[in-house]
Amino acid sequence: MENIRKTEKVICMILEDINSDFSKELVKSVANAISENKQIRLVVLPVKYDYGIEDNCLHKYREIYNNILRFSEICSIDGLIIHLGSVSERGKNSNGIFDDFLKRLSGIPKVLVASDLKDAVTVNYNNESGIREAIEFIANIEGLTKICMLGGRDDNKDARDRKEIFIKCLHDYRLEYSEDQFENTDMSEDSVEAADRLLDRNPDAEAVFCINDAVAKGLYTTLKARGKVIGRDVMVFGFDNTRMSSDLDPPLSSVGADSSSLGGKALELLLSMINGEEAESGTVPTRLYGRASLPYEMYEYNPIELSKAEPAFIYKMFNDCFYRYKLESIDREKVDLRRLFYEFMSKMLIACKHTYMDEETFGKLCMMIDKFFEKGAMQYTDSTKLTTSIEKIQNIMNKNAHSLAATVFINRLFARMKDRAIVNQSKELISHERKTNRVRQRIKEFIVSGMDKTGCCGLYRNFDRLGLDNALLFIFEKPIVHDRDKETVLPKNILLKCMMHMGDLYLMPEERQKFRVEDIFGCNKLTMKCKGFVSFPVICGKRLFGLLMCELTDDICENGEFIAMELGRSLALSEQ
Amino acid sequence: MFTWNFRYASKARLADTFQQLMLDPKNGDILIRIHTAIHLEDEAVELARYISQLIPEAHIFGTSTSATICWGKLIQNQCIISVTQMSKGTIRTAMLPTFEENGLPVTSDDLCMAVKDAVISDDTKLMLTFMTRKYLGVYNFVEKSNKFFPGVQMIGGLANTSEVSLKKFLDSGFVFNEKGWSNRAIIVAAISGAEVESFSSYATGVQALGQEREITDTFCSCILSLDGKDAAREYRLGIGDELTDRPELTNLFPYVYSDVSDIPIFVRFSENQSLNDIFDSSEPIIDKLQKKYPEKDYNIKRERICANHNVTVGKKLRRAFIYDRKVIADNRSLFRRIENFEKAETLFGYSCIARSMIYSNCVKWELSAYENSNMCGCITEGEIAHVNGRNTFANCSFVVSVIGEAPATQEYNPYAFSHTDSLIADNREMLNYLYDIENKLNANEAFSAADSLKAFVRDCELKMLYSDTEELPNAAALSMDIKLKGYDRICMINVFETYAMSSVFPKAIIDLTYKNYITKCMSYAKQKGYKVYHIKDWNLAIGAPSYMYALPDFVRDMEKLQRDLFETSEDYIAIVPLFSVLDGCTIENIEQAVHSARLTMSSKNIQFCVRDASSDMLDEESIRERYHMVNVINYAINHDKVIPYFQGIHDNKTHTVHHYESLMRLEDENGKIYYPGSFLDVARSYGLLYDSLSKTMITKVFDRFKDITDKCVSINIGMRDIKNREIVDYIYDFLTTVKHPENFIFEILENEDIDDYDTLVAFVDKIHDLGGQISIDDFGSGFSNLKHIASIHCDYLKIDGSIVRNSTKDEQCANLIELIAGWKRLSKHKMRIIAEFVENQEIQDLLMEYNIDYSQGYLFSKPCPEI
Repeated sequence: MENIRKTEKVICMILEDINSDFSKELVKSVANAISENKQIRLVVLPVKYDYGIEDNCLHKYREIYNNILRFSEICSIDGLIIHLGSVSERGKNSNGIFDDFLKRLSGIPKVLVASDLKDAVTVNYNNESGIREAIEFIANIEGLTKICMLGGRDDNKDARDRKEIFIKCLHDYRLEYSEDQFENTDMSEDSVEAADRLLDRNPDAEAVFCINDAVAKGLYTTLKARGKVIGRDVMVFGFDNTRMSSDLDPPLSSVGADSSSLGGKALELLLSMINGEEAESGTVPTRLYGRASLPYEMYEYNPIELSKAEPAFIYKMFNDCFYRYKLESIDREKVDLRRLFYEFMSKMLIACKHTYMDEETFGKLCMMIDKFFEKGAMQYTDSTKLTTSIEKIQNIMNKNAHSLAATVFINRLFARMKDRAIVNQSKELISHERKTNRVRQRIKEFIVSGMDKTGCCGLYRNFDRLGLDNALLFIFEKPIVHDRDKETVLPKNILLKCMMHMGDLYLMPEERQKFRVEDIFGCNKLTMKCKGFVSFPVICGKRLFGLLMCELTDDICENGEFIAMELGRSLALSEQ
Repeated sequence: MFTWNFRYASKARLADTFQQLMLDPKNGDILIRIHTAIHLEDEAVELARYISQLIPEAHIFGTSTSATICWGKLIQNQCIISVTQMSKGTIRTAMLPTFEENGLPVTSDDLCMAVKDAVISDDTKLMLTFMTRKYLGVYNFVEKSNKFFPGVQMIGGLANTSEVSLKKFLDSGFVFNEKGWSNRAIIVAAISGAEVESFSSYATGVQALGQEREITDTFCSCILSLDGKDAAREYRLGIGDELTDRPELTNLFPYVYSDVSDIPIFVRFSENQSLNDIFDSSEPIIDKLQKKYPEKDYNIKRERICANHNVTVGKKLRRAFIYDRKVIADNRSLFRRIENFEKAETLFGYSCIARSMIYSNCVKWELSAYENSNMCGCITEGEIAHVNGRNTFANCSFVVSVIGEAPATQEYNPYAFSHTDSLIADNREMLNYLYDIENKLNANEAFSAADSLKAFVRDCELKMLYSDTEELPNAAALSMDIKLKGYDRICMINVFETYAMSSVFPKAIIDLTYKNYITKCMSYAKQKGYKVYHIKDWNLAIGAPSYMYALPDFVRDMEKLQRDLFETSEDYIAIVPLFSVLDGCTIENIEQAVHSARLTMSSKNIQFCVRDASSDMLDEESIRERYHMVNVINYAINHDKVIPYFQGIHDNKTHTVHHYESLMRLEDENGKIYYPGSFLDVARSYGLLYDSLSKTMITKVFDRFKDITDKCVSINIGMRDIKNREIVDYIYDFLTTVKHPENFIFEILENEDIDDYDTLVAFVDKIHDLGGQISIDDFGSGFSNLKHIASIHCDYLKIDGSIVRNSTKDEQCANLIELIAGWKRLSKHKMRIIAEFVENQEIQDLLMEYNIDYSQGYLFSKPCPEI
C-alpha cells in the first residue's frame, strides 16, 4: 500500500541586515501570519549588504558571513521569501553576489519583497498612495511650499520609486522642485551628514520626506542641532511606519501599510505558489500615520457616531487607536484585544448615552482596562497617538454628557486608560533595557566560564549561559576556510552539538550528533513551539564553524549576530 | 373498587369490552368516564346513550378534551373510556346548568347549593368536576365549595377541544352524558363511601417573583388596572415588547394569587381590543354589567389582559415564571405523596393545555412516572386543584387524585425522574427569551422600558441559572455566557467513579470531600476572575472569555488547580479530577468537544487535556472532499469501476515473477484513477462502503485467477474483513472449490489494530486447512507484537516499505532487515521474506546480501491492470 507522507513546509526567509527596523518588522509580520497555520516552519537567514569595496575588513567579514546563503542552496526548502535591496531589474546585469544565487534557487517557489524584478513574483508597497496623502496634507491644509527629501541608494528600487513619486506629487500640487531639494543617503541612521548637506542647501525647508524611518532619525539629530522644532518649524515624515518611529521625540509621522502587511502578503502569495497555483505580484496599499512630527489625523471622530455606540464604530475606533493590530494576524490563543476593547468601550458609550453607570459596572470596567493594557495593547500603538485619540473621544463625550455621576465615572475610566498606557509603555522600555543588559552579562559569563575549561566541550556545556531559550548549535566536523576566489562547498554532514529546549540544555551524545546538512531546517528536533527560527553563521576570521539556529524573538534580531560571533571566537580560542 | 381504561375503537368492540369486564351493577355503582378528543357534541351524546343501553345503571360522565391520558400516557386524537366499579361506596353524577333561563350565569352560591343537593352526601370524599369556559365564575365557585361542602376534595377543570388559540380563550368545550350535551353546564361525579379514601395534589413548576400588586379595576375576566396603573401595559413592560410578536410568552409568565403562590393564573394579552370586542354584549350578563358600570368606556381599543375566569378587585397578584427545575421539584414532591398513599386503587390525572404548549415534553415527562398505573384523565384548559386542604381553581397545573376503598398498589416508575434531559431541552424556549432580553438590555434597546423588566429578568435568571444544590451558576448559565458574553474558553472538571466511594466510605466523609472539592474550585476561580458553573454532581465547569484571558494563562491556572485538588490530607478521600480545557467553544460544538476530550483522556489514561473545540468540526473543504470521495466510491461500486492492479513480486533466486500482489484502484466518471490512500479512510469510516469494496475486489481477483494454474496472487485482507462472516465464508467456499488453492495468498495488515487474535488465528488456520497461504503485510510498521506474529504461522512476511526504502541511508533500517533475515534462519517454520518499495539497485544489492527471498518495487515493475 502506498504511504502518503505529510510533513511541515519549510519556508526560508532571506533578508539583508536583520537588525534594521524594517527587517525586524518584516520578519515579525511573516511570523505572525504563520502562527495560525502550524504546518509551516519559518527559517530566517540574514545576510549582509555588501558594498563591494576592495580590501575592507568589513567587506571581508560580510563576504564570509554571506556564506550562510550556501545553506539555503543545500537544505530542503519549500519556499523562499527574499528581501534584498540590490536584487532589482536595474542591478540584473551587474553580477552582484545575489544574482548567481537566485539562479541556483530557481526551482523553488519564491516571492521577492520590495523588488521590481520583472520575471519574479514580487510584493511591494504601493508607495504612491501614502506619499500623496502626506504631500496633499502638507500642501493643502498646512499651505507649505518648500518640501525636501532625503532619498536612498540608487541601487534600491524603492528609493528610486519614492523619489519619482515625490517629484510627481510636488508637481501635481504646483510646488517647486529642483535637484537641490534632494540628497542621497545610505538608508540607515547614519544620515546626519546627508541631512546637513540638504539643510545647508535648503535653510528654508518647511517639510522633509525621509526615504525611511531610520533616515529620519539622522535628520532629527541635525534639526535639533540647528535649533529647529520638529513639527513646528520643520515637518518630517518617514516611510515604513516602524515601531521605532513612535519612540522618537517627537514621534515621527510615517507612511505605512494600510490593510495588510508586506510580510503577510508575501506569505500569502508564496503559499499559493507552493500549492501549485498561479500567483501574481501584489502591492500593499499604504497611508500616512500622523504623529507629532506632522500633525495629521487619520480619522475624525464625530459626536453622532459616538452617541450611537454601534459595534462597527467601536471597532473602527479600535483600529484607529491600535493601528498595528489589524496588520498583525493575532494568535487565536492570545487575548482578543479587539473584543475586549469593544466590551469596555461599548459599556462606557452606553453609560454616557443613558447618563448612568453603576458602581459594579465601573469596577468591572476598571478591571477590563487593566487587563487590556496588561495583555500588551501598547504593542499595537504608541502612547501619544493613544492619548490624543482618547482625549478626543473624551471631549466629545463630556460635551454630550448630561449626568454628573456617569461623567465622573467615565472620565475616571479614561484617565485610567491613559495612565495604564503610559505606565505599560515605560515598563516595556525599562524591561527592554534590562534585558539587553542581562544578555550582555550572560555572554560575559559565557566567555569567562568557557575559558576555564579546555576544548570545545566546556563551551557546549555552557551553552545555556547565552540566555537563549530555544536554540540549536550545529558545528561542522572541520571548520570551513573561506577562499575568496573559490566557491565555498559545504560538507554533507554537520553535527548537532547541543540544544536548548524550553530553557533546558541538552548535550547530544556522539552517536546522535550527525545530521545531513540538507535536513537541518526540517529536522524534528525543532518541534518546539516556536514562531520560527533565525540562523546565524558561527564564524571567526576566515573560518566558518557552523550554524546557530535560534528561536525567533524580538531580541534575537538584535543580539543574535553578536552571540554567534562570540561563539565563533570562543570556538577559535578553544582550538588553540 | 376496580378501574379499567381503554380506548374507544368501535361500538362492537365497546360491547365486547364491557362483557369481558363482566360489569354488574349489583356488585356496586359504576362510573363510566368518557374523555373524547374526536367526537362532535351530538356524536358524543350518541356514544353515551349507547353505553347506557349496554349498562343502564352506569353513571356516565363525559367531557370533550384536546388530548387524553390513558394508563398514564398522553394520547392524542382518541376517545378514552374509563370504567370504575365501586365495591361498597356510591357514585352520584349530575349535569347541572350554569346559566339561568334568562341567560344570566347562576351565582356561585346557588351553583354550590345545586351541586350539594344533587350529589354530595356526608361521606363524599372526592368530586370530579368539569365545567365549560362560558361560566366565568368558576374561580368563585371552587372557592365557595370549600364552605358549602368542606372536606370534599375536587379534581377536574374546564373542558376544551382540539381547537387552541394563543391569543384568545376559546370556549368550544362541552360536557355531556346520555341525556345530552351542554357548553353551559357543570358535570360532577361524587364518589362517596365510609371506606373510600382519597388524596389529591398538584404540581405546577411555577416560581413567584417580586412584589405583591393589587387588582384595582376589572371587568369580568379582564384585569384593567393593577395598583392603579394600566394592567396590560405593566404586563407588557415587564415581559418586554416581544410579547406582541410572541403571544406564547404569556404561557411562560403567568400571575399567581399571592395567597397560594404556586398556583398560576394565566392571562391572555391582546394588543388592540375594546371591551366590546372581548365580551359579547348580547350575552345577558355582559349587558347587565355594562349597565351596572356605565362609566367604563367599552369601545376604546387598547392592549388588554384577560384571565380565564372572573377576577375581583382587591385580590393580590404576584408575577411568576415557569422553569424546568421547579417543574422537576414540584413533580418529585407530588409523586412522593401519591406513591405513599395506601388505598391506591384508581388514579385520576388532569393536565393543562398551556403546560404542553410551552413545555412540549413536560406533560409526557411528568406522566412517565405513572406510565404503568391506571391513571386516566385528559388535558383541560384550567384545573381544579386541591391545595393544602382547600379546593382552588388553577391554570397550568398537573392535578392528580388517588382514591380507593381498600389498600392496593400501583406500578409506578420513579426512575422517570432521573431522565430530565427532555425537560431541559424544553427550557430552550425560556432561555431563548432570556437571551433575547439580555441582548436587548446589553444593546440598551429596551432601556426605555421599565426597570421592572430588568429586575424581573434578573430574578428569572437567578432562579433559572443557579444550581439548586450549590450556590453556583448551572449549565444553563454556562450556555448563556457562551452565547452572550463570549465565554469561549471552558475547562470541564469531573470526578468519575464517585459511586465507588460510597461503597467504602461513610456518607459524611464523602460529603466533606465534595464540599472541599467545590470550595477549592470556587475560591481558586474567584481569585483568578474566572466563573465556575455547577453542571451536575461532581461535574464543574470553569469559564473564561478569550478577550480577557490568554489560553496559555488559562491552561496554567487550570493545571495549578488540578495540582491543588490532588493534594489531599487525611481528612478527605483522594479524588482524581479530570480536566479538559476547551478553546473556541460555541453552543453548537461544546458537547462534541467535551465528548471527544473524554474519549481521548480515557483512551490515553491522562487527566488533563487541552483541545480546540472548533477542530472537531471539519472545515468546509474537507467535508466537501469527503463527500466527493463517497460519491467516487459509490460510483465505482455501482459502475464496475473497482479495478484490481497487479504488481509482480520478483524472486531473487530464479529472477522471475514469483507471484502478483493485487492492489485496489477506483476509477471515476472522468477516468481518473484513485489510490487507496485517498479513499480507504473514507470507506472505512463508512463501514459498509468498505465491505462492498473488499467484497468486489476479492471477487474480481478470484475470478481473474481461478482458472490460471501457474500464477499466484496475493490479496490484502483487513481485520474488518476477517470479522465479516459474509466475506470469510465466500473465501472459504472459493478455496474449497478452486483447483489450486495454494495459488492464493492472503496478506494481513500487521499495523491495523488487531484486537481479536483468536479470530485471526482461526482464520489463518482455516486458510491453511483449505490450502491457501498467508502473508503478513507491513511488518515492522506498527508496534509489532513479535509473540503474536510468531504464533501465526505465516508463509510470507513482508517488510514494511519505509524500512526498505531507507535501508541504504539509515543504518538502523538495514539492521532491522538483517534482524528479520536472521529470524527467518533461526525459525524452523518455513517462512519467506518479501521486501517492498525496492526502488533502486542499491537497495536490491543490500537485500541480496541478506538473502531476502523476494523483492517488489518500481525497480522491477509498476502496478498495472494487466498481469
